[in-house]
Amino acid sequence: MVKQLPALVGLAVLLVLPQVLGSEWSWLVLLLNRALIFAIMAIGLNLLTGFAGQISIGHAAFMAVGAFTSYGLTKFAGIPFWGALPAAGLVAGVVGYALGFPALRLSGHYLAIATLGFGVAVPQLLNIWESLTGGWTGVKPAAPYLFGLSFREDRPYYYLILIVLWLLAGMAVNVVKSRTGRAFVAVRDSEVAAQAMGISLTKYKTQAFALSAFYAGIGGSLYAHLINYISPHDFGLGISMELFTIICLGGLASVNGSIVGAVFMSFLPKLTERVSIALQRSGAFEQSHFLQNVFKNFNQVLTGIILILVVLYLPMGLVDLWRKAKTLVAARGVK
Amino acid sequence: MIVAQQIISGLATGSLYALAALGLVLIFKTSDVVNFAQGEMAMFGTFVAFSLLTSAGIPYWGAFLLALAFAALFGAAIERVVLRPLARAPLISVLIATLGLYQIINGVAGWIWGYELQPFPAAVSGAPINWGGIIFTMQNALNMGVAVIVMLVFFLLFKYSMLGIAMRAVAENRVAAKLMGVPTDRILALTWGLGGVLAATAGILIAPVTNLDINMMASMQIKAFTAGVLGGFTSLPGAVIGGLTLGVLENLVGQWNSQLQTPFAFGLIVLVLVIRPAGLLGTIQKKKV
Repeated sequence: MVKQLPALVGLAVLLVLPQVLGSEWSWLVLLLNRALIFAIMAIGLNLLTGFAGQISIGHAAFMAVGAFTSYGLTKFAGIPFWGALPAAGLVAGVVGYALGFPALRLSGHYLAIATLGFGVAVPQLLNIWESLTGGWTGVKPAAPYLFGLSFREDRPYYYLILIVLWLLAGMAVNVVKSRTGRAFVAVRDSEVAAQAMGISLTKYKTQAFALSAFYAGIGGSLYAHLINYISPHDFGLGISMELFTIICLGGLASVNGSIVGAVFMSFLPKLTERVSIALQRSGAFEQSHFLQNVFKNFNQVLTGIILILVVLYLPMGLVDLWRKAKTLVAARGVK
Repeated sequence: MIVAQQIISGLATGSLYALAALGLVLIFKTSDVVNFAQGEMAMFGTFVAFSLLTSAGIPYWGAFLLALAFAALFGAAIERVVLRPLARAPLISVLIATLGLYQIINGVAGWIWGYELQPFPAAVSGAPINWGGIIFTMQNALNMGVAVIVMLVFFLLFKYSMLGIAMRAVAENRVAAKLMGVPTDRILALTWGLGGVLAATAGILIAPVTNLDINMMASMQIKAFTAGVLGGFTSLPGAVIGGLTLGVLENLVGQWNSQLQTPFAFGLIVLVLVIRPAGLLGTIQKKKV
């Protein structure tokens, strides 16, 4: 019980938070919605990269597949959202499974290059398919209805996302503990050793890709019906890089780390925006063209710096800070 | 005749890909790092040249050389500050670091030079050559010439010079190279410096075609990867042949639907890696267990 205390407290805070906040905090709820959707996708990417050791820096492509599948099913096939959501995950999963096969022949850098190409190619292909995706103009997925309830508002939607996150995070934790999860880790640590122990690389690598793409597809569907406006080019390398940054920062091979990283990376732009507005009010921008430019694109540089600092000084990610703090406290206790 | 013109135009575009790929291959060959920030290094060097040309009023070739000198220091500094501490880190860490560098260099360039598209002067001007109806500009000829010359110079350097042998030794086995008295740290810094020079050269020659802005290398980078993969990623002549092949094939596909060019490049990467992972001219690196 004591071991699970932080998780329970965290869950309680997440449950109560939108109710406590007044209407002037509605931007925070929207931001939380985004953060939790990214947490879902980051958990998926972490299963692939953190546990199975397969790099993907084009993951937004799966998100795009999920988003447009969900849009297409709700708009043209008349399938309600609760059917389209899992279907979006499954379609993305099938695409991930298919990509898993060429990825079998690749590892390390080559896989990174191939997934990068995939991440760029998919939005372009979707852009050509204008009847579904609307091309450059994009499309407007409707807010979902569930059992007669409308999820147009951010607050009900928040709980919907939270439930999906809870289910999928739980699934990830169980997968990691299972035979499949152990096989992922074995493949990551040494392909040769894994094969020698009778682990089929084909089976587990394609499974990891499919599973990870499933998470991204679910995230894409949730995102599409939350934002209510999507176009193929929203799912470019920017999002892929953000997902990749989230798992590196939060902690590779950690489900909790994915959530922490996603919340951190979603709130970072808001923070710099606040600083930027404050500076603007103080009149600092009028003197300096450079400062204006800096705040137009501050996050990107900050993201880059975070990536490098994490790699150099905190290779296990933010969750490692927590672990270190715990051992420190434990050591004090012994004295 | 239209097909011939398409092929020639494809070769012209392909030589840009080849230029962009050479630096990637050079750095990968010696330091085993696929540098995702290579395109941004090219863009940054080009902006330096642009500032020297417009603000400082230095003539073209002077600005070109000064920008190359800057790029060499820049490349070496990146190796020293970011890559060297990661010498023993796993591959994914190195990859993350170069992606971080990509973000930083791209963002800082925006801070300094803003986000507008700028025209960039061409290295050479002059009437295009009309050769029996097939048109070929001086710029195209220069790009292709530079790509082939750079490829030859570095190919010979790798094969015959002491420096090249030292570079290959570092690539083969860093510890053994060190034991043989090769100053591995200095060689790696030098490689990244040369990689920076190649990047800036590519950027300065590409900019008149794409125009200058912080994202000028975004699609070029994917093409450079494709060219590298096509040629084998460890072979300099392979990078040039890969770049030219990609340029021609892509131009023929673009005839049909220009939006399919990048998906085509991706398809080609996957196809080559699956059918012949070593590319056209590369050698397979076997991993010891």
